[in-house]
Amino acid sequence: MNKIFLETKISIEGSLNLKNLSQINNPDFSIDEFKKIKVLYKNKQKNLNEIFKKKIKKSKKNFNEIFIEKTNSYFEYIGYKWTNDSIYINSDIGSYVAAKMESGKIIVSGSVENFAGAEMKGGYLQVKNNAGKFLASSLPGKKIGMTGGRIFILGNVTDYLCYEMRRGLVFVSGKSGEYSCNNLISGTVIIGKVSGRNFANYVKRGTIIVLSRIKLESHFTETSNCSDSFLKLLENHIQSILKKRIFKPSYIFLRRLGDTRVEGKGEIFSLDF
Amino acid sequence: MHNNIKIDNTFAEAFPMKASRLIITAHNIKWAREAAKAFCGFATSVIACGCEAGVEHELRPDETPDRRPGVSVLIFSMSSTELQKQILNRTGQCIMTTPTTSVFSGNYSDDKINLGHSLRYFGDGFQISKVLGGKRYWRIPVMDGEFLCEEFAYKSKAIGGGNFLILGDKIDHVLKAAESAVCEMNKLKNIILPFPGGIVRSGSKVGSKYKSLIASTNSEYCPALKGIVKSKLSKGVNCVLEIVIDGLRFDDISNAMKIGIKTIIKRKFPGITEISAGNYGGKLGPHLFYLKEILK
Repeated sequence: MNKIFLETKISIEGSLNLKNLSQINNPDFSIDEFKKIKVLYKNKQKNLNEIFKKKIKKSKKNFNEIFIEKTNSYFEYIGYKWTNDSIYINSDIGSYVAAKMESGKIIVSGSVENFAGAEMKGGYLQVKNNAGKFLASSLPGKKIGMTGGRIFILGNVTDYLCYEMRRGLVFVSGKSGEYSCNNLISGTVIIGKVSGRNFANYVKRGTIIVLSRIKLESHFTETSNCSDSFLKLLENHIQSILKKRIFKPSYIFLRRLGDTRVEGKGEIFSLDF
Repeated sequence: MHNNIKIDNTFAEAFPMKASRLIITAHNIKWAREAAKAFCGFATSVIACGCEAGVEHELRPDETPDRRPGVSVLIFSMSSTELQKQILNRTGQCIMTTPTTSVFSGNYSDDKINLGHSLRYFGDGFQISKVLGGKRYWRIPVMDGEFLCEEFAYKSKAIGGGNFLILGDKIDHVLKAAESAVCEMNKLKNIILPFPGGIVRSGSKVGSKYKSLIASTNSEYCPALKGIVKSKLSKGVNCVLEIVIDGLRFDDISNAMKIGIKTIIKRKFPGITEISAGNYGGKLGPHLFYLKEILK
């Protein structure tokens, strides 16, 4: 397949919708058609080659790799419904990255804006800095959040993390904002620290692990710990990706179940006081 | 002759089987061993046990999926259906019941065997499913916490019934030689020695004078029958023990036989006169292990 290097020709100063970049995932897609891909810049349709200069190299891998440079927060919908291929972005990008992503890999060296990984179904998204609101949540007006895949945020996230998330794994190394894990249906969420209010309201099922101490409202019942096998398996899995251990040997977890208001069986692990 | 031990110009005859590998982990190695021991109990021969199973090797915490000490077991059966049944029953009754254990698949193929997929119902609706790295695991609540179980085990093609016979003058000598061979063979991966302590004394032949029996004593190698049956034992031979090997591939069994036989030859055990192998004239299975070729 190909290694495709994209660099902006012009200074991007308005919304750039890159939804159609995902056409490259089609196995029948010819690299000659690349320049014909239509993108929306400031709500006007343009050809991709009007925005980007590209360099293409042949690669022995069985998937395409796209390297996008000089991005900023106006770059939206990168990796929308993405499958198979990989994207590497060396700067910040805007909203809706990896929305409805199905497979493949997206690595962002900077930060991302809102709705990253929204309604994601599979694949892997890694953000080396921060993420905005509604990470791994449902898209506006929808009720089903992330349903598969893995998201790793190595910085902080703001509000509405994993809102209505159904399945998958989300790891946030830093803090999360308000309304985190609200209406969680299932899935696994690991958060370094919860700094906002209204955490884990109406959780139905799923697992939330907070690597710090938290105070929860009374609609979570303190319960006994599960076996350490699951936590060690999870840590092993995360270590295989991040190449570092996330649970310190001194960690003792407190396990709570809830939300009792919705007869939820979700579990929250947090460090014991 | 090798160090005064005659190597018979014969072959061991083995047959195709289905196999699966499971990784059992526990809070400490004692309980992983206990679970493995129970899982592999009454699994010496497909003749009456339904399967043949054994401990392949022990695993350090850094070699297991959940970083706890573990044991790798191999289980073999003649058919996929029987293998599925044996794995499910033995996991449910022997591994899930052992304190602190978890179970994971240790091999991967396209042929799945239900593991957590069926056992999860023991959780009575309180079981939790987790998908990590593309594999589904089931967390089943039990009285010491949770039983963690991978959703599927996997079956692959394998070979059962590799063997060799150790012939000698008395039980002390033959037993010592056999134990020594087993000790070396147990260090190998991809094989198990399914009989107690890796050694079998009741080698069998196909069929019997009794119609209901599919196997009966290997009369040609019974010292007590010398003189009344057509015996394959020479005058000074008063004891025969057999080592049976099941393995994932032909080369695994061949290598194990080579190491076992060479151990006996090298260590010059007194009283050992001959090494032979069990076969049924090529009627039982397509895999033939010629002793002389193995030792080349």
